[in-house]
Amino acid sequence: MSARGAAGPPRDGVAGPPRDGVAGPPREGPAGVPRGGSAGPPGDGPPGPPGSARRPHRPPVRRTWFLATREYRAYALREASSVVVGLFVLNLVIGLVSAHRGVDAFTRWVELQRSAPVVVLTVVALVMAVVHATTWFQATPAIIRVRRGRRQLHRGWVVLAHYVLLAAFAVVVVLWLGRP
Amino acid sequence: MRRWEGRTNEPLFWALFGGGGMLAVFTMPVLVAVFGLLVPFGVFGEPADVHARVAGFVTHPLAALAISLALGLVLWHCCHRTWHGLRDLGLHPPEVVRAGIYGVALLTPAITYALCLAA
Repeated sequence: MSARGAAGPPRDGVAGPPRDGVAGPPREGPAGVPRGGSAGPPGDGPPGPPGSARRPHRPPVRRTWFLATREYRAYALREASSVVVGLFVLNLVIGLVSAHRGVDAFTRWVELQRSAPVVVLTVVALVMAVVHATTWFQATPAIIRVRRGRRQLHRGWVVLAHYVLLAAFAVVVVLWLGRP
Repeated sequence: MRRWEGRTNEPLFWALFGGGGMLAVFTMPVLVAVFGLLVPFGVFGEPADVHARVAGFVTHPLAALAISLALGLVLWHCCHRTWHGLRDLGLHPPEVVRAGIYGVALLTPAITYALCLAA
């Protein structure tokens, strides 16, 4: 803290410390990311001497904070979905490569999808993908506002439009795979 | 140099994250259900039949590029949230972990496309 105040230009020295202090609780978010300094991605700035290394304030947080309330649990479930869906993307990528390798490789990949561990991953990934999609659809009216004259389009239409797009993609894929 | 002082690359990363998320919500529920469950359990016929229908489109070099990039974008979204999820949990992993997680997201589409072209 003191090193930063001394090293920065005067204006920065005034604005810096309180901002860091405010950004802390309840947990660090994007506001905690410094506007300058050496804590960003590697190579973001010149590394200072050892004494001037930034020591971000880390307020004590319980390890199980995300179980505390229903909202926290929903948030944690939604964030956890990214891990499982990401694993399934890796699986899909292998399927794409095996489709390029030919019928035999593709058949082997499809049979791999029937093995118990992959079925478990798939079922969990399906639930998580649906959780991720539906929660996002519910949130979209907050950022997509369609004005019709003096009034806003009802939020229900915005949500519905997203479900229609999802259904349209499903129809395209099913028609593509189900065609004679 | 001074113009860039205090700027961050966060908007760029956030744009990739947002684009990947938009793709993910519209495609992933369908792709997981179709290629994870319906195709393996024979709804669309034998794997060879499915391959015959899929291969014509999927093996075109431009289609393979587009699919690799699209899946890579979704993977970027997932990796971004995985990294921030670790921080939400109160873990503060070293930079190596961050590089590894984002490295997977960066390298996977590139390796996928290379393997597709090499096949």
